[in-house]
Parts: sequence; structure tokens; C-alpha cells
Amino acid sequence: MTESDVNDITSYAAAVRVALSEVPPEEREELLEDLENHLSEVAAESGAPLTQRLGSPEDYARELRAAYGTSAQGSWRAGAWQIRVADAWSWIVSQPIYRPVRSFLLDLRPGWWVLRGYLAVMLLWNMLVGAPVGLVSDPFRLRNILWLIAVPTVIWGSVYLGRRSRAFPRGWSGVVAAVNVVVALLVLPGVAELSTQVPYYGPPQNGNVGTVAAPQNKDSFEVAVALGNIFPYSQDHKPLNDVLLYDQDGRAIVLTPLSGETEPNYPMGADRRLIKNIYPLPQAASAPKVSLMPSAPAKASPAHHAETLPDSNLANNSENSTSREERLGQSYGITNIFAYSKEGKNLEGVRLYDQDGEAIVLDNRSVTSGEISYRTGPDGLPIKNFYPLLQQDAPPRVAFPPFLAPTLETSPTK
Amino acid sequence: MDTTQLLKGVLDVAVLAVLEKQDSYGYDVVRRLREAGLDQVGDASIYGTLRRLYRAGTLTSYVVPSEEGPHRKYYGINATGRAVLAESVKTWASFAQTMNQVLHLEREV
Repeated sequence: MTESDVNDITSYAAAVRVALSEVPPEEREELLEDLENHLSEVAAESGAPLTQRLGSPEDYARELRAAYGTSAQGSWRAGAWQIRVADAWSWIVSQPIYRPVRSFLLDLRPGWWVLRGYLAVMLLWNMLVGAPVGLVSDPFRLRNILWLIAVPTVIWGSVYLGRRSRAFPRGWSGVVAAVNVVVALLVLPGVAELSTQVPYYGPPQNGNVGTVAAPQNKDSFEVAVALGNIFPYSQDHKPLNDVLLYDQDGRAIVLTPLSGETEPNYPMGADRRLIKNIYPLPQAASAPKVSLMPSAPAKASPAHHAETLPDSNLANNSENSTSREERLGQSYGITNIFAYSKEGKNLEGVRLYDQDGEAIVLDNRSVTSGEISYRTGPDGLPIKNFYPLLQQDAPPRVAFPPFLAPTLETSPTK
Repeated sequence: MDTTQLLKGVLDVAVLAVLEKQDSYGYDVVRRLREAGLDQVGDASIYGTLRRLYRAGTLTSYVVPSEEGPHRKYYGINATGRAVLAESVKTWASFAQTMNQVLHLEREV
């Protein structure tokens, strides 16, 4: 044997050892026991390089291992993590609970086929139309008719695919599994969000429900008050439009229609939810009887600062209607009212009147907790419908951003 | 059809059969299988098969010092190996017969 033969053997053997480095040490020792002997026999037989007779060291290692029957079957080299995954899987399969759980899940498959079809439509709908769709949508609009056609069609397709999935070649079942996972991951959070949105009819949130969930009064996001309408006025007695009202906890203040009145035409936000706490409400039927309003503020001097607003007349007026206003506070737990412009700006010094021109007042007798303190006019009398009331400096304690889309006032129609 | 894949399945039987005739070391087994016509099986496959059969308890092994080269590790078949071989021969015979029938080669057998 020549020196070059020895070098050839040494380097070939070293390469084989490297290729087998992932094999557990015990097995590797056994496998490599005869390696040098083998190589020198081959070299002694012919002068040709080892790679010519035996192939590459990597091939040699793969073949050796495959014939020996380690976990790798020779067609691919299993890395350490792949072996661990395989071990973990075989452990799972060996558990007694595995079979019943598996057969239970197999029983559930038709349900999943239907669900994933529905979810796929939701996903596509949100991507293509860009608007969230509720679990049940209004069937009297054209796009919703499309929705009603799409849902059963895609569900049928999904079930068809599911029933035929066994006939798919190997590669396809992987693709189907991947699509399943994508649909589930993308849509399930959306479904969870939908379910949190259902009871909520408050201010538009640009779809950001998470920040609304903050009100301390957890039982609702809105306070429904039995009044016909609310008319906000500025400090200098100009009627204001598009003012959003919230209570001290950031709950939207929503009016329940008085008996005999139809539901107002609430504007719709960019998130396609009705905005019910924007005032004055657009009432088709009843024109507000605010005759009192222009006359009373007219006596006031617009130049006055808010705290020095002379307004005994209105304060007195409000006294006349306290019976109703008391109920307002008591029944609904409202201790303060905060007004926002539709641009989301907190408005200071807003005066609120109802549809009869009567001041909307909260007073101490009407609340079970908290304290009411009014601003006083120059005559020393309190101005009771001047909001927000003094007892609370900071606008709502809750993170309640009334972010509004630019196209608030018109419901986007298609 | 790739003969290599076909051979792998019967390599155990072939190696056991070679060792039943005579104890032998790794490269000698390679050579004898080659001479018998199994020249498409890689050396490494035969070495790996020897190791596996040994681990499975069908072979004995012992080292023989050699004058001109390295010491050689000889393998011999034991009782277990003989039983396995007998069983395999039966399986192979019936399998080969079935295959011949399937392939309509009866006349040539």
C-alpha cells in the first residue's frame, strides 16, 4: 500500500466520521469499527481512488446507516431536532388517550369543513370588500345577496374537498393542511373580535374595540336614557351639531326613543356601526320645540366667561323639569356628562337641553354616589346644565378615544 | 425497476446465507456476494447489514490476527441466525413463486 493510499484512506475515513456525527456515539462506534479495514482492503485491491469504488464519503455514511437501520432511512438525513420531533410524536401516539381523542377529532371533521368554508368567505370578504360582516347580515342589500350566495357555495366546496381529501396525493394533503392553518389563524381572532363587538353600539372606534372595553362600569358600554332628544349649545349660545356625549365612565349616552316615535336615523361610522350618541339626533318626525332656547340665551352677554355666565333664567327653567332630570341621573348612574366633537376633541362648556327646551340637569339628589357641583353664574345661582360639571376635572377616567372617521356624517353606501 | 431497492430487502438473507457456508470477515462477504452476482449492492450496505445482524443477535464475531494486514473481524452464524435464515428462505421461495406467477414466468423456472 502506497503512502498516497494511506492518505486517501485517512481523509475518506475522516469524512465518513464527520458525516455520521449526528449518530449517537455508541451506534457510531459500532458502525465505524471496521471502516479502516474495509478501506484498506479496497485500496489493496485496486489502485483507483476510494471515491471511484465507493462513492463519496457522505454516500458511504448514508448507505451504512441505512443498512444498519438507524432512525434515518437513508433517503434523507435526519437532524437532531427531527429525531426529537419523531420521538415526541411516537410518545404521543403511544399514549392511551391518543386513540379516543383522535377518533373524536375525526368525528368533528365535517363540522370543521363547514366552519372553515364560512371563515374563508369572511376572510375573503374582509380582504376584498374591506368591511367586516356580522355573523348574520342584512339580506336586503345587493352585496349581502352576494354574501348569501358565496357562503353556501364555499361551504359546499370545503366539504367536497374534505370528503375527497384522502384521495389527494401526498403533496396535496400538506397544502390543504397549510391552508387550514392559515384560515384558522387569520380568521379566528376576527371572530373573537366580532363576538366582543356584538353588544356594543357606542361611539365609532375605527374598529379598535380594545380601547373601548375599559369602562369601569362593566355591564354596558352605553347608557340608554329616556329622552326625546338632546340639543347641545356652546357657551355663547349657539346650537352645536354632531356632539358626542359620554358619561363620567366613558359610556356612550344613548336615548331610548320615546313611545310612539320611530328610531332615529343614526349616522353610521366608518366601522359600519351606528353612532347613537351623536346629538342632536336627526329626528325626521318631531321638530324640536326649542323656542325657549333662543330667547333665553339672548339675554346673556356672549363676551362673558363661562363661569360668569349670567343664566338665572335657564337655571330656573331647569328647576321646573327636575323631576325628569333627577330620574335621569338616578336611574342611569350618570354623575357627569362629557361632550366631544366628531373630530374627537373634548368640548368644554357645553349646555344641554332636551327637545322641549328644558335644561338637562343632574343633581345631588339624583345620584347614589359621587358628588355634583355646578358652576355658578354671577348672580350666585348654579348653572346646572353646563357640562362637564365641576367635580371632575379630567375628561372620562377611562381611555375612551372617540376617534371618528372623516366620513362620519354620511353612511358609506355601496 | 431499480435493482438496488430490490436487493436491499433481501440483503439480510443473502448475508446470512453466505455466512452459513463459512465464517467470514466484512470485505470477504462483499467479495463473495459480488462473485455470486450481487454486484449492485454497495460495500457500505453490506457492512451496515453485518452490523445490524450482529446487533440483532443472529451472528457471532471474533477477531483473527493477520500477518500482512490489520486484524480481521470474522462473523459466523449462530442458532438464532440459522432459524431466521430458514424462515427467510421459506418466505423468499413462496414470494418468488408468487412473483413468477404474477409475471407469467412459470415456464422459465
